[in-house]
Amino acid sequence: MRSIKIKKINKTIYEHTLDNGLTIFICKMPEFEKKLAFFQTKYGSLNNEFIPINKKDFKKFPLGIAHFLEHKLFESKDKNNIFEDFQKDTAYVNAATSYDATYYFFDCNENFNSNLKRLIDMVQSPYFTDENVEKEKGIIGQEIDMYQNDPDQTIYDKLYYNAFVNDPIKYDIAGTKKDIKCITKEDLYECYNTFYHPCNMFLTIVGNVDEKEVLKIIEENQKKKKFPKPLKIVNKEIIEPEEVAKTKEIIKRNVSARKIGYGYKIKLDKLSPVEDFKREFYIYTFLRTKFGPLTSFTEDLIKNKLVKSYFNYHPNISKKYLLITFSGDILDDKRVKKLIDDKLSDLNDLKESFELYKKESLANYVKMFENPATIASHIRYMYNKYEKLIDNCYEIYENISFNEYLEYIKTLNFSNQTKIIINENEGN
Amino acid sequence: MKIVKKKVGNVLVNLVDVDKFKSICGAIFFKMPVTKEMMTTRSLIRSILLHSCKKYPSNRLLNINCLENYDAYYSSNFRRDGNYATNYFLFRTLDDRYTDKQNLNRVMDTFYEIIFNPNASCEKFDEDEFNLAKQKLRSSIESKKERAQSYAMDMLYKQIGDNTPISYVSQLDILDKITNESLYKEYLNMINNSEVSFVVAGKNVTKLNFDKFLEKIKSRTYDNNLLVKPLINENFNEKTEEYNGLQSVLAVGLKLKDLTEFESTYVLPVYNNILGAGASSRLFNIIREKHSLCYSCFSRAEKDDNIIEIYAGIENENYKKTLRLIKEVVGSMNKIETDEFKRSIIDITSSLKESLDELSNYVVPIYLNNLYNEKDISEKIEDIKKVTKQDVENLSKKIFITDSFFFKGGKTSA
Repeated sequence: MRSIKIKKINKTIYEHTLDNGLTIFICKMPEFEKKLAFFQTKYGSLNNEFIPINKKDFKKFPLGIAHFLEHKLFESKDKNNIFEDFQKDTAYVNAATSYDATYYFFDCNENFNSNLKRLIDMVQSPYFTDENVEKEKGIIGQEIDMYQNDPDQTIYDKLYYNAFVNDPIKYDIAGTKKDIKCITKEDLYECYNTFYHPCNMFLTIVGNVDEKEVLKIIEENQKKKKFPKPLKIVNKEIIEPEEVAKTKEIIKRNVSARKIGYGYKIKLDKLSPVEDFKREFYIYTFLRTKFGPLTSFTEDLIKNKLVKSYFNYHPNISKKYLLITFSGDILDDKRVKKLIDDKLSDLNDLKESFELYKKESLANYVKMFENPATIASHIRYMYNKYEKLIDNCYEIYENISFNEYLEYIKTLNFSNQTKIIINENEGN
Repeated sequence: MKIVKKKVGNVLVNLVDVDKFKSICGAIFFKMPVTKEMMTTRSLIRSILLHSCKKYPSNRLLNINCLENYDAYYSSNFRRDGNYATNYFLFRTLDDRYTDKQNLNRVMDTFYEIIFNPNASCEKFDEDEFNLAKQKLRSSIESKKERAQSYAMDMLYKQIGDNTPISYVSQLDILDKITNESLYKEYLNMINNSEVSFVVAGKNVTKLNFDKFLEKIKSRTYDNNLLVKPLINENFNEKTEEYNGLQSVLAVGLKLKDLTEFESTYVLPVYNNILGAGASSRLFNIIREKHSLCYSCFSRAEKDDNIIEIYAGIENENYKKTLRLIKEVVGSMNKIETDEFKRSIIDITSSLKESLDELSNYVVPIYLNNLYNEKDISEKIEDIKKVTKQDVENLSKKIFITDSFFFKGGKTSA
């Protein structure tokens, strides 16, 4: 077991990889009641076209299948209600799917060991039938409706859809009702067998646990199971142009006021983990400097009646692209757009806010270690993205240089843009 | 954990020593009898006070101050507990092991400025701040139907609690009548006529002195006449409103009658947990898992209002079936299985234990313990364990399913 000392914070994270390829991270937090375990596969909605294990050709799967699979792993052959089993042992269990990961987790304060075995067994015992796959379609259909009912979510989804040409990031993680209708149990098994091999997965455990005892439990559990020899996962290479798919779309919805969204698509080069980590800081800092709480940008838009009541911005960073989204109940499209563009191209007066956000990042990094759930999120995010943990984040923030920041910001190209307008339905 | 309770002037102070965090968190609570208008006025006041103050007369300057003080965080919230309204203001900052020694003093100074020294002159708030807050609240009220779940719940509250505090929500007609001067008067009313409490939690806070912050604060006391008792209607009251949205929302109301203190504090959470508080509940198992009618279906108990509300997001054509099944589930609560009862007790006690892992849970819950005259968490856990299966079955006889509101969506998705 390898010890990773988190510098400046008195914490150790233990890392160990089993013979079957499963990697385990353990962070002891003896002062807390809560014990958490996250079992994660590096498989999300973007892994939509690949060569299924033991097959020769690429296969395209229905959109939303990673999320559908996440739901179905709560089903067991003995028809036990797995939620009830966790609850009996003080645990709350749930799962989530993102673009590049699916994770299953529980938190509890007692019976951690039995909950941990239950979580691993649940994820490693898929049981799909025609009947239970059909049953799930109604439930997920309502989940899709719930999100699509929100006009702000529609703006966000549409900006993604129109910004990207080939990259499956353009599609909603859950897919549409039409997509999930065609999912079969055979599809689910193919995806499962390809991406849920231990060598594509990792466990993150945080809380008042004994690292040696926990590791022993996992080792014994895994030794009882047979896994095929790990094979390389081959995802379809996506060639995504820098240009957006569609520059403008107007749709009608039941909204109380017109809403507009702008998307700026920017290509990101592959960098080392530390340089990538710094780049994230640069991007967040730049956008907050221009539009965030240290500015009166939103206030001025409302005061000058360019926006009715709200204006949001959000940098969405994926592996290869940054999509910056802006949205609000915008009254004057042209003037707001010009103000955004002017702000993005103005590189003056960045120094003061840079120092303040650096201080904020240092404070937030310390605060992260007073909550087991945020530590677990940090580990999962780092390992899923970089396949390693960065142990000196504090030092990186301390030493981050304004000149490097400025040089990076100068390279950003804001010319690839898309726009969504949601107009009110007549009679609303 | 060590709690020191004391009074500074008339302000009730709770200092909670808890070692495991790296931050200090505190809040000041202003409690008064609730009025219909408060739901709107207090929202505006919170928005204005948190946006700027006399010392930092713009949001930008206030935010710079927050970042300079190691990302100090200030927020405000409003809660209605039965017949009372509480406006509370929170601060959170890293403790001085991670900052320079004067950081907490600076944070407390800014906290004081935000609440007691607003961006106002000549007995009114800064005109721009007032207009901005009003505009934001107006849009939020106007766009309520876009948040279908929230709208359906509000309509259900109106239906089940007509003319009682249950039905109070922010309203446009009230907003229209508010002037800058009237709002400032309401702010002074809050500052001068509230029952004020102060709670701080963090490492070694019992050794800290907050008297300088507290000594100028006025506080009075109110009787604790908390409970709202909605009238139980004899016939089931079913309402439908159509809208041009994708998903339909069904909200169902249950009213509670003559609960004892033990029942409302300890038995009701167990009843609600079994009914619809999670993925092992009856509503989840029957409405979602067995009949695939929804993604989310849950219930929530409001003991001070004597109500339980149930929510389900469904397809239009499943309305009758879902309502029938919800009625059946509620009707079946007179018979509780031993297994589900045991699970529920474990679930509630676990949640209470785990709540101690979040610093803010040493602040607001301590205020609520005082408000409801409740015991602390460790004692509460022991008392929950005294609840029997029979208690839950008996409670079901005091619970009546009385109302439903169906927010009927019209659009079909792809």
